[in-house]
Amino acid sequence: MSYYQDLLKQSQKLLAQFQLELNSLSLEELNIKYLGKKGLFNQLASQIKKLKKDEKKDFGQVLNQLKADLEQGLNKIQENENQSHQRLDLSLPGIKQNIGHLHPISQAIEEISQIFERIGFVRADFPEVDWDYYVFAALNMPDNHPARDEWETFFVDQTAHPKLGKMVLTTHTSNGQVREMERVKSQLPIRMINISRCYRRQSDNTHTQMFHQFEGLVVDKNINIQHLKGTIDYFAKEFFGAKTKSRIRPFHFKFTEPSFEVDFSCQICGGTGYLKNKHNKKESCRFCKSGWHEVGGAGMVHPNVLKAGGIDSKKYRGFAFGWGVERSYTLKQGLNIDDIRLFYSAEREFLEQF
Amino acid sequence: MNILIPHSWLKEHLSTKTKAKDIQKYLSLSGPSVEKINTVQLADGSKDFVYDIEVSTNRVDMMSIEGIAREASTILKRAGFSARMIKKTWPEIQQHPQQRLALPEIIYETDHIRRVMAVVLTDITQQDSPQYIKSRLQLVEINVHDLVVDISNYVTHELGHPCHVFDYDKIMKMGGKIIIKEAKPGKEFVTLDEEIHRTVGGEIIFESGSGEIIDLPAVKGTLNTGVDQDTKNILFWIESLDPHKVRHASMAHAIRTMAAQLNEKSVDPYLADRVLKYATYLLEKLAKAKVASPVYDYFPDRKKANKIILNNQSIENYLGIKLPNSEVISILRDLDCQVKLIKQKQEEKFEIIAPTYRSDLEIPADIIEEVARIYGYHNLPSQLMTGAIPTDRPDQKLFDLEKRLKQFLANIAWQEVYSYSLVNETEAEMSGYSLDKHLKLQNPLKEENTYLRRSILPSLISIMQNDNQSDNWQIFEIAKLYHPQKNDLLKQENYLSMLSQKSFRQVKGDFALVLEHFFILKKKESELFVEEIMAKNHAIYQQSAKLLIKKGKERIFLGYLHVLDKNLTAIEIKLNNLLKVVNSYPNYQKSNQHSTIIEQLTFTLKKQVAVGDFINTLLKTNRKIKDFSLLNIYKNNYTFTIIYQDQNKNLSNEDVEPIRQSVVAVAEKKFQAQLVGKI
Repeated sequence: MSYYQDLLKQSQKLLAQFQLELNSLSLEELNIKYLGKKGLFNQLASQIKKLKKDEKKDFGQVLNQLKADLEQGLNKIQENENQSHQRLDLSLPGIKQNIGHLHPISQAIEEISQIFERIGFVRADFPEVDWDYYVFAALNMPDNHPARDEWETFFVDQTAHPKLGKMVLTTHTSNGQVREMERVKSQLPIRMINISRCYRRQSDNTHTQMFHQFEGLVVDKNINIQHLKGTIDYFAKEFFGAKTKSRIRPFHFKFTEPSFEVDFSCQICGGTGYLKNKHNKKESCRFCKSGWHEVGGAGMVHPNVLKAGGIDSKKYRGFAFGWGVERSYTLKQGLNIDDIRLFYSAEREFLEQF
Repeated sequence: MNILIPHSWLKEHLSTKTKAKDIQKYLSLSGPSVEKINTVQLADGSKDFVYDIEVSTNRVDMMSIEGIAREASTILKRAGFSARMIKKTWPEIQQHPQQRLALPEIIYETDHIRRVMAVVLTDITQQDSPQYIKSRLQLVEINVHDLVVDISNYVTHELGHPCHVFDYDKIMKMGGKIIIKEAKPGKEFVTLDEEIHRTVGGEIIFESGSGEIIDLPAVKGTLNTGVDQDTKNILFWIESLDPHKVRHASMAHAIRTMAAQLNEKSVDPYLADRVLKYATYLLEKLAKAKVASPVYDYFPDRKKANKIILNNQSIENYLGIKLPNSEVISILRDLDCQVKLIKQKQEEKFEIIAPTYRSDLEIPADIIEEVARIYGYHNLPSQLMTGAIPTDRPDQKLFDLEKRLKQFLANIAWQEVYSYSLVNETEAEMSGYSLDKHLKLQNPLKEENTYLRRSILPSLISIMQNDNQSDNWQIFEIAKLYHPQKNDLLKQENYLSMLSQKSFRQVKGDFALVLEHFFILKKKESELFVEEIMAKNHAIYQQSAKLLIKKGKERIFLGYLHVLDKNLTAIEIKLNNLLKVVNSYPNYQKSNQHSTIIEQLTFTLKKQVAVGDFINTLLKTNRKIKDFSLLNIYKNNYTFTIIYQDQNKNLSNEDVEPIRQSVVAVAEKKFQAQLVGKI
């Protein structure tokens, strides 16, 4: 076999090998192996100098064809590859990173803070274990007053302070009221939100010994009941949805006058108090009281409380409200938590849903 | 306090055609909250509604059928319904001409008595109560007894003033005296339900002439003077005591009768006349009793009516709208207030005298509340406040840190939990502080929640133990810890605790990520240091170390790293200390375009060498060492990746040679480390 024939055979072999490898090597690998600087084509082409003159011409044409074939092959793959990028099976499940979850109470606290911060409230932090004075006495509730019965109080086994009284676990966030007034030292206004752990001596499916409250306090000139209503309406719509209604009803707290109970319209029955049962018949909504949920108390700050905080009640007025975080959160439409003890159960199945 | 009010009984005091649903709605909006309406089927087949009404503690005047009717008549009228109160009257009490029994001698040894009214009735026929009384008492969930006791309960529920019935003959046999005094401690008495009590001192008691306690007035009767099947003559009795004294007695003996709950809230003593008349009327009519004595009435405490003065402006200040004087006056008069317009310093003002049953009306704000609620809170507009936003604000840094910290940890696979800050004995002791160094509850609800915790970790350990799935769970909590302080309120500081089933190095790596997230470790001069210590409680924490941030020459203590038994690793951080080192942005480093040389060196390290120190030291041997990091460990051989880079030029192998030499030299000299292979 002449050398020319040998080269021809080699060129055929090269093309055959190329076609064999088309599906097993990547485009980049093929490119380097066949058309790279030191690739098989160049190696073959470099043999041309060993041929006779007329053979050179013929072999030149063979090489041109070979190169064209190789390039065409590579182009095809390129096209295929372009197409096959679009042909991923997108129905394949994704692969997830592991993540943790914020506790629902943290999520609720964050949402509540943001809602109030948007209208100029500032978060404050006060003791969770405090003197009787700040929890009760300064709030117009002298020692042994029957109004204290409503607060199932835990007492700390410690000697009482000569002036500030017993050490107690805060039964509500309202201990922050006089503390905040003392802090600003009559540099008013006050517009604060206090969210904190509270403790009451009770336990059932709507009460836990420890729970969270959020408390708003506004003290300024020209504050009236309309501002309290406005703030409550604003919160209800932001937290529960635009269709939510709120209302205030008379109530009694020693540290506010007038005092109110705050209700939000029920998300589940749309505030009607009725649900339709399986047979399309009306029955009372079992989630609310006649279309309303009681969420907590509110009121105009009692002049005695302003006085305890060193504020002139003739010049300034204020309003305050304090509601349970867990209670408010569970009223969200479709959340379906009817036992607030779940929040403190640390059950993974529960926590990982948030 | 809740009270049950049957609709039919209410209608005896209230003339209206308003439907039950509307009564519920409008009473709730402007007065007491009607929580429920129960529909009941009566024995005669007819239907009745029972309102379940919550009355706030300051409105004891509404704890009766009459009280609710009075309130409803005002509120319904205002809401546009036709409603009028019917004031029931009864005949004056007349002593029976043929009957004469002497009243016991009543002796006052205390001035805590506001009023006493009494009358003796004879010829009592004990029998069952008529059906309408029984059925109404049942509707309002009061136990049915005999006729005399039922009448006293019935009248109390209808009019709101508790009353009591003594067996007259028992009192007379004991000397015929009622001595009213403050008790000394330690004296025994037996209540109607045969419970034995001992006085604590300071309660008001009634004593007989022979010195026996014959009543715990305003709270509960005693067995020795109570009526029974054989009672023939009774002393019908109404007392009004200092509410603080009632409260004291009721709380001290844990006797929370309805009488005590009403009397401690200051029931109007002026109600006594009507209660006595009504009860006497019923006793005469139903028990065939005859009045055998004149009516006794001791009423030393006729308080002067309290005048409250306020102007219309102060009402407007609270409501945000101006009501005409005439409307204010009309609302207050509907509430039985006497109102006069007076001039004070050339200003027109309202002078108001509240009815005797409204002792809750004391200051102008109380009057404003009355005007506002009857006008209707629902009729007031609603708007957000204008006015300045506070500039003297509490520091927000800790809130921001907590928020970002929680979110970041959750994002890198840590689960947040909330656990009770009240822990049991074992958990308290696990904190490393002995039990007596903990604050303890005086009145815990459950034994497992008695101590105020000083460490979050024991709670997290319990959570981890209760979790059945053991697959690399990592949990954290941020909460206040409660550290007692001598002669002061306790220290309450926020801590972060983390507990993980993953390896110690993974936990430490996550914590390093936190430090990087807050741009602490990205600042060149900051380093995380661990300093091994003997933990206070090494039974639980096998190995512990302080976590410190070296910032320049300072070392800031952040908290602890603990390795526990059973492959648990924990970190506890004091957030106020972390706050000292956090940054909200990095020091930007211009990118270095000069090429790097990367190589690996393996050293054999002795057991006592701390690899962290080794790395920190070698990293500092030359400024051109950009990174010195642990790649892997095989037995005692540690392989490190070293990256060399120069600020000013591309490094060559020749440049790196002397640096490498010095690294190996330092490693050998300071740590007796042996290079594996040759350089």
